[in-house]
Amino acid sequence: MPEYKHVPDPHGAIIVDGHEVANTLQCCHCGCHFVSVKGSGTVRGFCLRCSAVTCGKPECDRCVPFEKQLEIIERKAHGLPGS
Amino acid sequence: MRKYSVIGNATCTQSATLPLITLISTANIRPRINDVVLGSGASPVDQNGRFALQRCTTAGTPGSSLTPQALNPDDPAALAGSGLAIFSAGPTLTANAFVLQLAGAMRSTIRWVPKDGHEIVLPATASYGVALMALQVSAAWDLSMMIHYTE
Repeated sequence: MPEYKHVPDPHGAIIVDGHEVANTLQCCHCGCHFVSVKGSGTVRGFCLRCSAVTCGKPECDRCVPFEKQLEIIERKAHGLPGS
Repeated sequence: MRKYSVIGNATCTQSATLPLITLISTANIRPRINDVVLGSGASPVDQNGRFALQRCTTAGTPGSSLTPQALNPDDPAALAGSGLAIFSAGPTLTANAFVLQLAGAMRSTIRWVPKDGHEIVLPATASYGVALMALQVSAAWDLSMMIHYTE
């Protein structure tokens, strides 16, 4: 039976019919939430600069904190330099 | 921090391009999604689905526009916008930018709640937002959706 609630400090919860069935973690680089399943074999990451988990996508291996990513998107959209 | 709610009902037709509901930001705010509830008020049958929030960079052409409602009546009108299916033109979806995935059955109500500080944040950019996609459904059934967010 997979363990969907093994995370000691989860970032979110999935609740079905009033019962908490799984926990989610948030990637510190892209901001996505994912369910960490113990023993699933899915490779996740950990950023030593952010000191937080990443979702494991290759583009999230490089440290660009989510706040910085938002700023990049906003500067680009507003046509500001440095984007 | 002002809190708003978006509520809509739609037939959850499977599509990788046309969303069921969208939440679209503007240039002055960073909406933060702090509650997502999916359920169905239709006669219960055994159907299931897999839904995901995907980032988008345009609003698309929704079947109808929803007005987010302030949870506190003293708060001003929402700056963010929302669109409901059936979309005649889908938003421009960001490839692989799925920020949340929920799978469940029609008979159950699925809710996702983040811890404080771990909300799904939308950039302060006009037309950028998230779209709720029905990535896989066993059949098209009536889906009730609710998104709470703060501005």
